[in-house]
Amino acid sequence: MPKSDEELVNAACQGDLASFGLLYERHYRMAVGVARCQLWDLHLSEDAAQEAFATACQTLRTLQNPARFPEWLGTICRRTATRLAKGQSKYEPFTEVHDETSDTVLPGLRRDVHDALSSLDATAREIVMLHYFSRLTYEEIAEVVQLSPQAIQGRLQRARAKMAEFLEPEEASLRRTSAGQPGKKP
Amino acid sequence: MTHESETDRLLQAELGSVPTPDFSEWCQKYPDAAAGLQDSSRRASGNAERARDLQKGTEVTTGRKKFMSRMRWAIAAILMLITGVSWLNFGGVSLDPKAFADEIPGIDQVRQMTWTVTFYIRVSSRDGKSSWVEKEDRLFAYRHPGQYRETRIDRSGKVYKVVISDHNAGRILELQLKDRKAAIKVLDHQQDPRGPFAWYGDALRGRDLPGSMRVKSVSMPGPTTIDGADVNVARVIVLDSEVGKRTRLDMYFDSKTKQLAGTWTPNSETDELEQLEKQVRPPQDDWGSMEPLAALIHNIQLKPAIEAGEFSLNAPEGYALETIAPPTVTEDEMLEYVRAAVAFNDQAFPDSLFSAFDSDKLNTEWAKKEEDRSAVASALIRQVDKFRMREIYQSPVQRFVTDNTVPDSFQFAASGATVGKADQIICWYRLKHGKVLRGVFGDLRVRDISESELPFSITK
Repeated sequence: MPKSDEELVNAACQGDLASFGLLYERHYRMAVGVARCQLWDLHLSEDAAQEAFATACQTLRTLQNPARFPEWLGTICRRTATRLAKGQSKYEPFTEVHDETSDTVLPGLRRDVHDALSSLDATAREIVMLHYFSRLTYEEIAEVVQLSPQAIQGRLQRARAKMAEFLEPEEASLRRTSAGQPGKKP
Repeated sequence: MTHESETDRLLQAELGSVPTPDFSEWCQKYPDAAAGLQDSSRRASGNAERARDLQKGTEVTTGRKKFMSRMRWAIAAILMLITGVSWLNFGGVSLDPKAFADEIPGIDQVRQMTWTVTFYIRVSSRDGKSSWVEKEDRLFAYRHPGQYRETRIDRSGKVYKVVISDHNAGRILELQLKDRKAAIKVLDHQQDPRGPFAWYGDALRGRDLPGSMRVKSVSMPGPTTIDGADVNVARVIVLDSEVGKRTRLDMYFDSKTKQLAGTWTPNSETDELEQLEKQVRPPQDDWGSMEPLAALIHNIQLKPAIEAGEFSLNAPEGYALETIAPPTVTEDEMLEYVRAAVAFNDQAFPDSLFSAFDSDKLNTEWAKKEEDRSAVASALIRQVDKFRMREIYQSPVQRFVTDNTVPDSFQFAASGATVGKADQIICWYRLKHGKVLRGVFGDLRVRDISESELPFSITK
C-alpha cells in the first residue's frame, strides 16, 4: 500500500529525503503541467517545476495541512512559472518571410493548439493541461485545483467543446458556420 | 471520427507527455534545498533532543560543518563533471570561496585594459508589425587608478561622443564630436577602485556584492567560442533583493590563458548570444521603438597601447567648454515622485522606496500611445522622464538620500501600507543641513519630528 502524501510530508519534515523523493516522483507530472499553462515551452516548464520543488523542500515545514500538498505545490508552481514567464521574450524572432499560415508559433506547439488553449480561462486551461499532458485522473486534478471530480469532468467537457472550434477540420467548421453554428475563429 | 475524439487526439499528440522525473538529478541541481530539509529537521527536533544537543553543542556544530563541507564537495564534483576541466587551476575540488583564489587575469590586479561592449537591441518597425535585432558598439579603456574612457559609436559606425571619467578627481568630461562641445560634470557615482571587473571575482568567490545584490548560484555550463577563441563559461546568477530581479552573467575565460575574455548579460535569462546574433539586421531608418536585450563584453586587451593623454580632462582645442553642476533631487521633488509611484501602485507603498514601482508594469504603459495610458501611469512617466532629462539614472529617492541626508539616517517602515494615514510615519531621515530629523507621514506630508515620535529607536 503506497504511503499517503500526508505520511510522506511528515517523514520528509523529519529529514527523510527519500520520502520527499517519492513526493517528487508522484507530483512531478502535475507540477510540469501547471507550469506549462503559462510558459508553454516544455523545457522551461520542467525548470519551473524543479524550482518549485526546491522552494517546497525548503519551506515544507510551513505547510500546515500535509494532506493538501498537491494544492500547495501547485500554487508554488504557478508563482514560479509567472516569474519565469516575465523573463520570456515578448517577441517572435524576425523572419525574412512572414507566413500567416505558418503553424509554428511557440516551441513545440501548433498555432491552432496554442490558440485553442489560450481561449480558455486559467482554471480550464490548467485542467486541460493536467488531463491531456500530465495525464492525471479526475481525482488527481481535483486535488490540485480544489474542485470535485464531477466538476472537473464538466469543466473538461465544456473546454473540449470550446477548443473544438479551433481544432476541428476546416470543412466541418464551414458546415457548422453555414448551419448558423459557431465556426472556426479567424 | 467525432470532433471530440479528433480534439482529444490532437491535444495528446501536440502536447506530448511529461518526461520521467529524475529525483537524483534534482538533488544534484538543488543540493542546498535537499540539504536544508535534513538540516532544518535537525534544528526542529524535539526539546529533549535540543537539550541534548545543547549539552554537546560543540559536536553538533562540528557535525554540521562536516555536513556542509560534504555538500560543497559534492557541488564542486558535479560542476567538475559538467565542465570536465580544472581550468582555473584551483586547489582541490571544492567550489567554495577558495575555488577562485588564484589571480584571474582581467579581473584582479588590472593596471590598464581596453574592451568592447556590444549592445543587442530589439528594434520594432513604426507600424509594430515586424521587429529585428541591431547591434551597437561602445569602446572602453581603463587606466589604474580610476580612469575610464568611453567611445560611443552611432548606428552608422561613426564616433559621436567620448566620455572620460576620472574617479580620483571626481569629474567627468563629455565631448560631443559633431558640435565640438565639451562639458565638465561632477561624477555622480564611484567605480570599484580595484578595477572595472574586480567585482566579478567577488561573485565567483562567494563574497558580498554591493548594495542589495547577492549571488544566487555559480555554475559552469561548458565551453563555447567568443571572437573565434575557445572559452569556458562561468554562469553567475545575481539576485537584487530590492528590485526583485535575477540577472544572468556569463563570464568567458580563455581556455588557454585563463584570462577574462568577455561576458554575456541578457535582460531575459533565456536569451542566448547565438540566437540573437542570427536575428541581427543592418540598421534601418524606419523604426518605431527600441529595447535593449543584452550586452556582450568582448575583445578584452590587457596590454593595449593607450596614452595617459587619452584620459585627460582638458577639453581639446576648438571645443566650447561648459561646466555643469551635479544634478540633484530636492525634498519636495522626492515626495512628488513617491506620490506618483504610490498612485501607480494602487495607493500602496512599495517594499522599498528605492525601487518604488513595478518597472515591467510601467514599461507596458510606456509602450502605449500617450492617449491610451492611464492617468497615474502618465504622471509617473512624467516624473521618471524629468529625472532622466536631468541625467539622474538612479532612483530619485536614492539620489535625494545620498545628496541631502546624513549617511545611514534614512529609514523606511511602510512596506505594503496604503497611502493616507496622516498619523503614521512611513520614513524618516536626518538632513545634512542643520541635522534636522524629518518624518514623512502616510499622507506624504513631511515635517520636523523628534526621536520620541519614531516607531522604534533609531539606534536599532
